[in-house]
Amino acid sequence: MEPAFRPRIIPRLETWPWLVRLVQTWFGKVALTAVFGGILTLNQYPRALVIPIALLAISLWPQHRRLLVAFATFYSLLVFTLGVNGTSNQQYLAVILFFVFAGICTYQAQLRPNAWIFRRPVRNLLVFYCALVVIVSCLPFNGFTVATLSLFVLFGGKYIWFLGYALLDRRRKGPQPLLVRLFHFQPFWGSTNVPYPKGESYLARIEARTDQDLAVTQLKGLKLVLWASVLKVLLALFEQLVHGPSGTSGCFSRWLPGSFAVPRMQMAIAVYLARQPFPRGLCWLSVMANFCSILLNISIMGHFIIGICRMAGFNALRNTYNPLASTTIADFYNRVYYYFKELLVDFFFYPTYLRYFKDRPRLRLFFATLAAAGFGNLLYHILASIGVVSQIGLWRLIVGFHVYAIYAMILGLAIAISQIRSMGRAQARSGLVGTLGVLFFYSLIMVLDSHNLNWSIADYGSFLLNLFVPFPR
Amino acid sequence: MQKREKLRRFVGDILIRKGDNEPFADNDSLLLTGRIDSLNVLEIVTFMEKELQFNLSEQAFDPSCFDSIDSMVELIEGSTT
Repeated sequence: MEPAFRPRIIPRLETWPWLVRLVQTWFGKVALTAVFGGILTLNQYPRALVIPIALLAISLWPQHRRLLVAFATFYSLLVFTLGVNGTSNQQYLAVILFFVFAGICTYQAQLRPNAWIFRRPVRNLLVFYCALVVIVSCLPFNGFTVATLSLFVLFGGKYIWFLGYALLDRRRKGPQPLLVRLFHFQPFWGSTNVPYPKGESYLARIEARTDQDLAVTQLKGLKLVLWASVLKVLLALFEQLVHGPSGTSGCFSRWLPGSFAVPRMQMAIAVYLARQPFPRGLCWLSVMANFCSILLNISIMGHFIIGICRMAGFNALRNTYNPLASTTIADFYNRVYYYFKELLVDFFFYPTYLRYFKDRPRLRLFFATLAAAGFGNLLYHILASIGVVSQIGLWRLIVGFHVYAIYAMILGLAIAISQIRSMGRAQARSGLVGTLGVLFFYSLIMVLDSHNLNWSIADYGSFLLNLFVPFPR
Repeated sequence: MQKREKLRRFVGDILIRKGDNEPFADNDSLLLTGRIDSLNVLEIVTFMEKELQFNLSEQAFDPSCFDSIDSMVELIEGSTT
């Protein structure tokens, strides 16, 4: 049972009736947006001026929300993605080509959802895109056509999962015009290559319908951004205390003059590989600190994005939800990076689960989990790094990802086993031991979650081994 | 037992297992509010296949059909009519 009173760092603003009423007025909308914009500015959030202007327009004219979101997204694309110095005509052409391609695909998929190419649209899209990457990487990078094609591939890598969701939505005919839907790709509230929060049809389902809904959703957005700000301060304090002053954490050096001077994990590995390892205890601390930093950074990033999305009137679930309460490996994965997990589930897990081993439930779940958390995870990260192909070549990129491939397979196996074990349980496991076990597992495996393409699995493996027994390099 | 009742009981068991003892109505949104997640959807799919003899193809699969008891029943009945 929920306790009657639970102290909170951020009060539940959306449950204060007077505030909900105020936020529905013209004055309230302006005040709320000003406060929200102020918080973004204090946090030095990118586009901290444009976002509040877009949010204010959406608050004042919620009936035109989708059009305003599309316009703000288009503006962000034009000014912040393309409007940087050195943007060439080829880049503009590549962007136009991509949107024409995405438009044709989305339109045709809706028109002919049962055509063979759209029966399994995401698989076909990924095969097409990967084939294009291979072809382009084999061509010499000169000439207008090849350069444009390369930029098309590069740009496509940022948008491919958004297009994937648009294709999955092919059987739902939404009321929004095609162009408006296309400009919900990489929406103005920000995202990585992972669509936050999923596709257009999902947005339609979580959109605020009434003024009261909008006010409650916006207050939840404000709350989330306030919480992200608290976490950001916590991260700066943590970095200062553990690693010493650097970047934003430097502002605390006046109050916290000392630090434990724990090396960052990348440095601990580099020093170990140079045959001058830090003491084992310090290496353990750097591994644990790395895990805490990643956890805090993911939470902060997701909370800001979802906070802005909620301010725009979409009641999206949080990206990170209380990961320290996880008692199983699968539960942690679900809680820490929700929209990435949803991407893997929607594009890899469900199709595999519904297609293979229908008569063997455990093998079915195991195989589908491995396809998502293993193969899907690896493919996503390779495609996210496609920009470096022009510098190091496709082959070196793929070879460099062998460490991540092993990481993804171990993670997939662990999640699959965790899920199979959970299925047989009548009650959720609870307790500190389970949680600590989960956190220990993830802090160790995150050593391999590296994008340093110069180190091999032998390098990482010997560093990991050295944490337990002396294993000189 | 009716299909709806069987589904209600199964979904109720899932929620209890997750430590969610709040009551739920047949039209309550469960997926969008985060009360059930994608793994739970798979448990429901498996339950439908095993207990309700409902075979879901990859093409016809839409996770949003698992948002509420009403939409799940609609999915099953829609496939048999």
